[in-house]
Amino acid sequence: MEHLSDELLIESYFKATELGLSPDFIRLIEKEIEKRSLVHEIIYSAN
Amino acid sequence: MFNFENYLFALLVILIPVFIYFSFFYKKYPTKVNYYIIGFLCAIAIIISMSYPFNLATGHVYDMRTIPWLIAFLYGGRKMGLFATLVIFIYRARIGIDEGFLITIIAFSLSAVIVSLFIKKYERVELREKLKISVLLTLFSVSLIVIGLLSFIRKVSYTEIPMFITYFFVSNLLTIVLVVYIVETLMEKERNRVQIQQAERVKLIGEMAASVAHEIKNPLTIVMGFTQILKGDKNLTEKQHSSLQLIDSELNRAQKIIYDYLSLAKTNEKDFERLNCVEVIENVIDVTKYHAQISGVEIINQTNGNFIVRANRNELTQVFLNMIKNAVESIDGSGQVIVSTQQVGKYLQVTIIDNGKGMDEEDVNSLGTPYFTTKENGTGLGMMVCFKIIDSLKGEINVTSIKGEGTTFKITLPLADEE
Repeated sequence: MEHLSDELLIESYFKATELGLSPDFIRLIEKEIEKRSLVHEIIYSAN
Repeated sequence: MFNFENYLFALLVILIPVFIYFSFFYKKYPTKVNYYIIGFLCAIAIIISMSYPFNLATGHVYDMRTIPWLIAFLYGGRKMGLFATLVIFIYRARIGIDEGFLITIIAFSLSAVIVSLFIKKYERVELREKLKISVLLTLFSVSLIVIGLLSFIRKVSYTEIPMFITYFFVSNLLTIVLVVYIVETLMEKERNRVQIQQAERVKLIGEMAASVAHEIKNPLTIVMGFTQILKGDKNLTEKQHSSLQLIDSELNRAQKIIYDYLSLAKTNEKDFERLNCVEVIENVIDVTKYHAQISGVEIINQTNGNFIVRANRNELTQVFLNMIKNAVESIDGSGQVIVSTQQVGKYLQVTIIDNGKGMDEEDVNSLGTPYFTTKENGTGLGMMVCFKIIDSLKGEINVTSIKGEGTTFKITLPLADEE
């Protein structure tokens, strides 16, 4: 997942939660988001 | 009259070749060469035994040549036995052609014939039977010699005869028991060593495979997740949607295989639990059916229902894995293995039917005995473990088989009580 752009990564996060996909998958995305210190983007976008 | 030192020496003369054999030659050379080595070592023991006999005041001598002679037959085969017999004849002739020589020829020729008849059976039986057979054969051979000696005795004080006979019998019988016991123990040690080695190897492979399966989980999760995301796109063409659908379902299948395998490869946890036997069997079938398909064998799942038993999940899985694998491997080419379940009273009966090569009655009776296998590369331990596990669950395994037509295994397990 390191090859995904930040934008695609975050978009995937929302799509995954929206579609109710596998918790394991969502957790993997969350870990990558944390790794890239993008957590604030999620909170911001969700609002 | 009885000299303990002499007996010990004679015993040593026989035991040293045995130890030499197991230290330097056992399992290190092809079987045929092994036989020749055994024959050679026995010949040496015979010659030395005959060179240092027990001297009796009567002028008669006796020795324990019978023991290495018998060992040559039982462990070296008929050829080596006959070779040992020849060695006795020749060496005895060098000592002198007299009545003793005649007795030797007659007694050992007759004994050789009788002993030859038992060689095949001896190879097949366990330690207990081996001790019985070797003692009886020794008894027989020694008796012939004694009868021969008694028929020819002229200048002997009759008081010494019973003692002589007793010592002769006792020393020979004691020695053969000791030698056979030592030989068999040493052989079993080697078998155990090989068995442990194999078990370690299997365990290592299992661990490696489990770690591979574990590593794949992550990439698989990601691929599945993004496939779902793609599928969720509203602007897909019909074809694109179908393709993604296919990708999705095949990924699910791959995931199931990996999860099934991982649960199979988990290291042993010793607890019993209430579990659905049908679920365990279906698990096993899922894992084995693709491999079976490659060999042309179809595994038909006719199990149904919920049958709860109290068992260790890993052990139960192991049993069915073993038996279904055996069923599949017994089929040469294409065939079927049918697995079905049925309730019989308070028991669950699992039936595994294959149309493979079957077994004859002798093989069916040998099933489950250690190291018995009909496979070229079999360890002979799989069925033994199955029997042990089912036994510990208070169940039963029944086998019927027709050679050339197939085999049916019926595994009966007690159902768990309602909770």
